[in-house]
Amino acid sequence: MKDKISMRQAGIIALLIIFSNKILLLPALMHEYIKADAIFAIIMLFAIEFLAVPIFLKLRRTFPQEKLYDILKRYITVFGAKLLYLASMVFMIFKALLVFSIVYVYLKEQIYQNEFVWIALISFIPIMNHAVMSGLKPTARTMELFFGVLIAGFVFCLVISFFTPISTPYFFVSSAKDIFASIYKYAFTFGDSLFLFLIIDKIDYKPKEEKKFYFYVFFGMILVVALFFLFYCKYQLTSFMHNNALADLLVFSVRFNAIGRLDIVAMLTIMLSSLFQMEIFCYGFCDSFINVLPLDKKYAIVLFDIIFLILYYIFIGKYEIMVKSTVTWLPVLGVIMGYVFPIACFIFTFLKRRKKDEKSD
Amino acid sequence: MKNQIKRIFKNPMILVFIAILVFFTPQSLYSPGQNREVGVVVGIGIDRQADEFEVSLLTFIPTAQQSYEQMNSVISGKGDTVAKALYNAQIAMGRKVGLSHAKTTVVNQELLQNDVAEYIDYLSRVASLSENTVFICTDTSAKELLQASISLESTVGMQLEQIIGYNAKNLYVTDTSLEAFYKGYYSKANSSLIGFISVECEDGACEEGASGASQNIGPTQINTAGTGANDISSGSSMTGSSRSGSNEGSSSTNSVSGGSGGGENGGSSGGGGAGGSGGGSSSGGSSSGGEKKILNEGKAVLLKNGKLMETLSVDLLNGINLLNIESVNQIITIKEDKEEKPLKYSYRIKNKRISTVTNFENGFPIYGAQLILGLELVEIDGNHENLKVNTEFSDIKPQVQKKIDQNLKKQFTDAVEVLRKNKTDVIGINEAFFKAHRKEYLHFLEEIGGADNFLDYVNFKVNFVLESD
Repeated sequence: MKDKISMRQAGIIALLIIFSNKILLLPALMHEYIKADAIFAIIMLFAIEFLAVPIFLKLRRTFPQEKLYDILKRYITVFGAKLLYLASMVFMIFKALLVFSIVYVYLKEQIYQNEFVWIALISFIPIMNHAVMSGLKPTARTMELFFGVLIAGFVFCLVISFFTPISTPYFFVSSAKDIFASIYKYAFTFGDSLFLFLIIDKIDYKPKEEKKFYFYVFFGMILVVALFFLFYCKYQLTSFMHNNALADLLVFSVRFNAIGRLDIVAMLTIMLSSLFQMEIFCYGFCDSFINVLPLDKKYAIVLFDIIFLILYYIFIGKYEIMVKSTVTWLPVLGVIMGYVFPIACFIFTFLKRRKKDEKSD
Repeated sequence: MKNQIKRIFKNPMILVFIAILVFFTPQSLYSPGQNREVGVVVGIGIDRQADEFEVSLLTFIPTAQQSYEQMNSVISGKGDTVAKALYNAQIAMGRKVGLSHAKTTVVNQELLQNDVAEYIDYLSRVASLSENTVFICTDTSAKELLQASISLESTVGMQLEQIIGYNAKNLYVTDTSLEAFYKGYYSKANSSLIGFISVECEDGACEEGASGASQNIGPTQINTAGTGANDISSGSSMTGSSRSGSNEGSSSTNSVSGGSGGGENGGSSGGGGAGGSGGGSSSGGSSSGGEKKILNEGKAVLLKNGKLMETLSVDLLNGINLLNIESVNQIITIKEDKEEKPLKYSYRIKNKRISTVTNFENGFPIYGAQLILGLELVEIDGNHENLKVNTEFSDIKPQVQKKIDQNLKKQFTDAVEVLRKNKTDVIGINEAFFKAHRKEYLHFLEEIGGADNFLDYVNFKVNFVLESD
């Protein structure tokens, strides 16, 4: 019980993973493809993602004491479970890489320094490693501590956009086919509920607090949709040119620029949320690794760091390649881990109930 | 050895440390300090003369001084593309160009003969030019405008973007940033409005000065004039308003020294030529014979697909902005014919209420607008004292009302005529119909062959209600 996180902390983690990879580059990318209709696509993607929440809670209720690995082992054999954890490792490391690549480009622009990657890596890696070494509970408590600041910063950025001319963007300019195609295309940036399934046994589940959990998930989604909407209201036709959505809501608020470097608010918010997201994905990778190979978690961390560095340096050093990967081959992984996996979990709960019924008969 | 390897695996974090060292240390060791590598550019100008481009960079050089004085320089480079010219400017500066702080972007009219977005796109996407930079056009040379802005700043402490800021707020009543340009560029009618500022020479002194000879050997030339204004150029020779003399060396140079540091600008102000490897010498590099001044007449430039269509006067801008609720304070002057002496009345638009309606009647678009204008009488034939006290002047007589009405309608008709002629729409008529009647609008566009001609078919019904305020 001591090592378990509360439902509130789980809700905060869920909210943070909802923010991941959606608050900087995604609005511009989606606008380039389907204009302001991207809002419909993200609402649909969130609707699908939201379905994972009751499935997750049901799975927790159905298998109250079991780890995800044990549940999977029972239904898809040890080999299947290990294979799934291996896929989860790939999913988590690419998620972390994507967060890092996007935030690195943003900070490079803000800090105005070319060799910033060195500083970024030596500040990000120890924090991520510390999160894994210290365990989920201290990490979740840190997130809980900074949660208010993070949300205040996020809401502040949204509110500031009202102080500049905004008008409703043009909707229904893309075909339904394009909107649905974009749902697949950007699947990798969604489907983060997998992390919740990975830590299913580390949550101190209380049925009465389910509402709280739903609230955080819903609140996170509402904030992201609001960001998309205000961003498109503000930039309209040129939205595709602005790669840092949350920060750009502030930067171009000319009336406020007179006060000074107000964009520091966006920078802090983005920095905090990115750090926490990287911690979450690093934790997810290490947790999956431990289930694939029964080794100490320090080896998992080392493996994560080395793969992360090698992938960043050799393969994904170029930001464009990373972003391109998320819409070419990574959506397959996104669909499997983000959407197929929760459905499989739902089937497991159904199978367990049937077994129970059979026994009682 | 075995024990050492075992020890490493006992504490495997050392492997991460080694990996970081292997991947990133070599490149970090060879990277010089950022301030040595990047120059802060606060304004950028692009000129085109025939097939050659010149990129001028208004740079800020931080220097340690007891009193605060900002040292600004104009550094330029020439080339057959903007990228090449920027590259040459970089060579002249001896640093990489950092455009993130560029507050002003100036282009000359010549550049606007083609789609300007093609050139600007490179700067905003590749060279990190911020989209909130003020984007303006000048009639002669962007370089000269930037140089004149140094003088403006050192004498009256006013920056170029502040002048444009005033115009944007009071005349254009729209943002004139690069962002606003792009918004117009990607709009249905692909048209935008940007600010226009010209450079004026005192008593035609510029032309005289243009013959100032200079001899340059080596790749760069530096001229220092007045207080804090430097000019460094690099690149191939270009015939422009400023000419250099004979050029020798790997790349020939030009330089123009603008009115700087209060305009004390002698013809022989060319400083020591930093000839680089060529050990260059320069003499009389400054071609200016007189001070160049910034002339702001409140004009704007109408662009279509990034190309210059027409330069708009203040009157035309006021006509365009009649339907803009934020556009107030413009002065309307009318003449009242009297038997003894015609009187001139000047009214200021103090406030404005607008209601618009868009519709399709018999398949044709109708744009209806009712403008309720609160007018204030500010002057009668030179007499502007005690007007507020004498309330009888505040009532607008029917014949005066009629004249103001005619005046405003003419202003609006002229503005629409200009927009129609250039197939542009900076009022947002296309967008208004698209929003309100999308189906009919798109169907109508199919019939007329695109949004370019749409304004020709719109029937404007504008009604003015004049109230004394």
